[in-house]
Amino acid sequence: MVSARLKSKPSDRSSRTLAHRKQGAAVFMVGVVTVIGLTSLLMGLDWQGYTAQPIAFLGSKAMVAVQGPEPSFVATGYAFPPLLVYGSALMRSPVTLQVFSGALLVGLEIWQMGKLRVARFWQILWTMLILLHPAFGFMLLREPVWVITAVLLWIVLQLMWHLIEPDNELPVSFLIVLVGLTFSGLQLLRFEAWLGLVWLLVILWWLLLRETWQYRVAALFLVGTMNLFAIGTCLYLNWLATDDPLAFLYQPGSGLRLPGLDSFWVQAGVGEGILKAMSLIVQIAPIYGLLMVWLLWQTQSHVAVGLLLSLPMALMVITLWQGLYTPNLSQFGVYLALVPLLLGHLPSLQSWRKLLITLGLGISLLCSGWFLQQNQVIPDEIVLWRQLTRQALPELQSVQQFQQQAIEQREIAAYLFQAKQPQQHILLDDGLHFPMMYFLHYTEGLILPHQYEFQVALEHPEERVDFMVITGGDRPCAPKIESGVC
Amino acid sequence: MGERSLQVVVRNPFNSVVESIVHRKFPHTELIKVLGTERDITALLAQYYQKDFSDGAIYQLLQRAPHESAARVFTLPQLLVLYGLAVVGLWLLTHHFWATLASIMLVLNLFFVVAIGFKLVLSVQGLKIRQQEHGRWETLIYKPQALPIYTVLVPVYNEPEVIPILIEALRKLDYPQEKLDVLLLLEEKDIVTLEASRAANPPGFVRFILIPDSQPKTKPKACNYGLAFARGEYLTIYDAEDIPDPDQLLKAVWAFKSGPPNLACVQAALNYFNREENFLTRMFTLEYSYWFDCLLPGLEAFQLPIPLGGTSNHFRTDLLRELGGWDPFNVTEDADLGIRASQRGYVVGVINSTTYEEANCQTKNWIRQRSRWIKGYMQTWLVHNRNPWRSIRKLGLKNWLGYQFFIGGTIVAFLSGPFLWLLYFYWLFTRGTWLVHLFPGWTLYISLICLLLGNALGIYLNMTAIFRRRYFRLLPYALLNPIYWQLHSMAAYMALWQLFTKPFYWEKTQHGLSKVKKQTV
Repeated sequence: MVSARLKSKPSDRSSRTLAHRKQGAAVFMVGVVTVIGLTSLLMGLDWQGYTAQPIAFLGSKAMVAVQGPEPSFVATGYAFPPLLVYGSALMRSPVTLQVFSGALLVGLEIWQMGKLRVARFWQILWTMLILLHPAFGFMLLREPVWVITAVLLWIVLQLMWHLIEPDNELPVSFLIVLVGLTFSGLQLLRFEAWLGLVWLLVILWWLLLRETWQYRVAALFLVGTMNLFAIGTCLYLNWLATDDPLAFLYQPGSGLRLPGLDSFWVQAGVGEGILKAMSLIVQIAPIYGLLMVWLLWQTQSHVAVGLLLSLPMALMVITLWQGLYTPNLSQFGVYLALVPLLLGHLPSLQSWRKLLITLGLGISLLCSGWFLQQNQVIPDEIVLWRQLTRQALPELQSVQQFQQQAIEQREIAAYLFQAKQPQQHILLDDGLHFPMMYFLHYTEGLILPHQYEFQVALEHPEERVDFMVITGGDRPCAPKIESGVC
Repeated sequence: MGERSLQVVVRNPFNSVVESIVHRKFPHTELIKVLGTERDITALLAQYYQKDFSDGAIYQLLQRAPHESAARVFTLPQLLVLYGLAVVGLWLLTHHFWATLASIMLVLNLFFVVAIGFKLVLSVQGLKIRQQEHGRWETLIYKPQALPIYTVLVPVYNEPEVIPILIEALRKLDYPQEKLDVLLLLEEKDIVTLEASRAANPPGFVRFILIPDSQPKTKPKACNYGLAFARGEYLTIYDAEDIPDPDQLLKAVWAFKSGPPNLACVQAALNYFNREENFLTRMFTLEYSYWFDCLLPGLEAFQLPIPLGGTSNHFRTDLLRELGGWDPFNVTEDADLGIRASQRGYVVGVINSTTYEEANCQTKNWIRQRSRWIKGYMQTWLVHNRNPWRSIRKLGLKNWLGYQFFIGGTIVAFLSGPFLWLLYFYWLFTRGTWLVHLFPGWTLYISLICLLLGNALGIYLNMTAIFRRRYFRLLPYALLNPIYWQLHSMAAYMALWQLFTKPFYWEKTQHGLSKVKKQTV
């Protein structure tokens, strides 16, 4: 509005513009440093022979989407999460996506920390404790899904917090519209969000209690519509690709459950799930629990704040309930990412409180380190942890097998890269060997299961195939590079 | 006037301003003052200057800046470019049929992706602006003597039944009556409306201006003619069936007084009093709420050119005259004026006030009205793309792109929409394999994003404004937008046809068809 735009004095405006420019420059610098840092780290890990499974999966799907073989949509339409598969394809690489989303998250953390009314020393110390936390670090290095989930959850919580605060400057309708829009992004990222929508609507209903019931119903309708559109989009893509809207739930190459982790999936009922989720958070990110209790104690709106802070936990309970939980540390990075936001809502930060927060962050860091050292996570993360801390791999069968398979996949990919001639064909079971396709960096000449040719080639390999990489009986694709057939 | 004497008609014989002006211009001349009303003066002016004013109303812009007038639909370079594109297109189609069609599909879908992204950004920004302004404008009520004269132009044509209601609405304006200058613009051959106006016995601040019968018979021509009689420092236009918020003029004055010196115009929001009458009025309300409550404030926030709405746009009269008034050959003269103002470095703002109108409730009537608006957009786009380089220099790249998306994008979207929907439904029912050629590689993904998320976002954003206005019962109707968009496309094709056959024809919207009474506002 014209009048609103011109209320402030010119001097106020110029000083604010200057402050914004300075802030913008600082954020840009943080972004640049993070992009360079993350890229170097990921490249360093790649040179040392480590590539995270989720990144390899997204990379292989993105390659099929862009390069084929046709009909590529049949192989990618049911892939989950669609947002990241097509995002990786658009950015040409999941690593680029990971680096930029990671930089966004780190920038958000630093920006929020910078707003805290404490000395710069504390801001830097707490930021370092968060960035060094293995869960946060692992999330940045290997899980684009959780990085973007953290960003979106951060935004949702921040917007909804404005609904609790009565003196907020932003119009309620604006906040509600953005909540709907942001949470719908989560629907294309995590399956848990589909069920979590119900929880979100319950929270929203509670936060809008001061409004008329018509307003509340309309708000839920609005938020629900955009989220249902997002869910509908996912179902429709599945239907287009496979004639079954729920194909992503069971197809082996869908990405909802990455292959090779069969023995690690955990399922629990709702009650058991709540207890397990709480126990895991206390073990890995106790700082989140501490801040949650603290905020509940300090606030006047106990129910509203309680409901709001329970949203990330509710998503974890749904993860356990749906059997989508594997013991990986990266997902707990989300809770660490929310810490600066929670700190920002604490009414005052006196010295003993600062010490308590530092202690909480320190304990969180040590607990997760201990958790990793005890090998209580998936092999992928154990390997990454040992590699980063320059320790020998433990003698666990699952870890040894995982590492062996990773080395073999790289070796076979390297061999094929050199040996394959332009007109030759490789038959590849991409459901299990997606990392190999990612290492190959091309899809030309590949025969994949979604193609009609796959079955024909499998029946007459000597006529149609020059190389074959398939799952062989009870052995994990033992490479026998003999006469060009693996 | 004698050799040494001059007869002057004045309203106030004690006002010495006239005397000083006359004596400065004609020294040693005797001044004879004749008492007359404002209406007498208007009648005299019309009697002596009718032809000049009439010619000015039609040809002023065309003479001053022919390149800014829509009197010429296509220029020669534009025709050559069109011809060239057609030839190249045909050659490509004959030599690379599928590749050409696939490329067109890709460009169209990319355009839709960018357009939706652009609207998303504008809408979020528009929604962020608080509706409840702290009413500093209210202080103006307490200083009526400091308020400027405000001219209100009301073009009326063949609408005798709305005159009493219109006069009642004007009486309700929260503005000192002695500072109001309402000009009822009546076509001289429209006897029924003229008689109805006289019978309504309007208050003293209302003057009748009779527009001489001439072509083109358009609203902008009538407004230009009325502009010659305007006395106000500020000026606005209301349609005959309009019900403005009573405080609208005060808010506009406040906006001008607190705004930058280059603020040429402020636009109030338009909405409908018969919104729940039928499907059409509901959809129209959804559309207008989104346009005026989200998109225009978003455009204002980013300081992009604002295509003005048909009524309730408030001007600084001097700047409006400097701009040359409205283009009488352009059937959306308001949108064109907004762009021309931006080209001259002026800004257009929005104010938080609403004028309620009657939503078109009959499909045929709606399509006719919409075809005029889209034809006007086509005229405006052609006028300001006669020399794109000059437009970029005048508007700046950001504004130019904003204008291309807003004016040009609207035309492209409505013209191409039906083809895309037809293709989709054809595929859905037949699963025709030949369509694969149209959507190779990336085109398929971009098209899917457009189809699924683009339409979803379009509907969602449409809901947001209605939610903010608290018209909750209309929310589910937003889901029917894809049907409503097809009506736009029908109107767009009618507009395209008329652009070639009768470019200046003014599809008059019939008012008074609603069964809902205005008092329901």
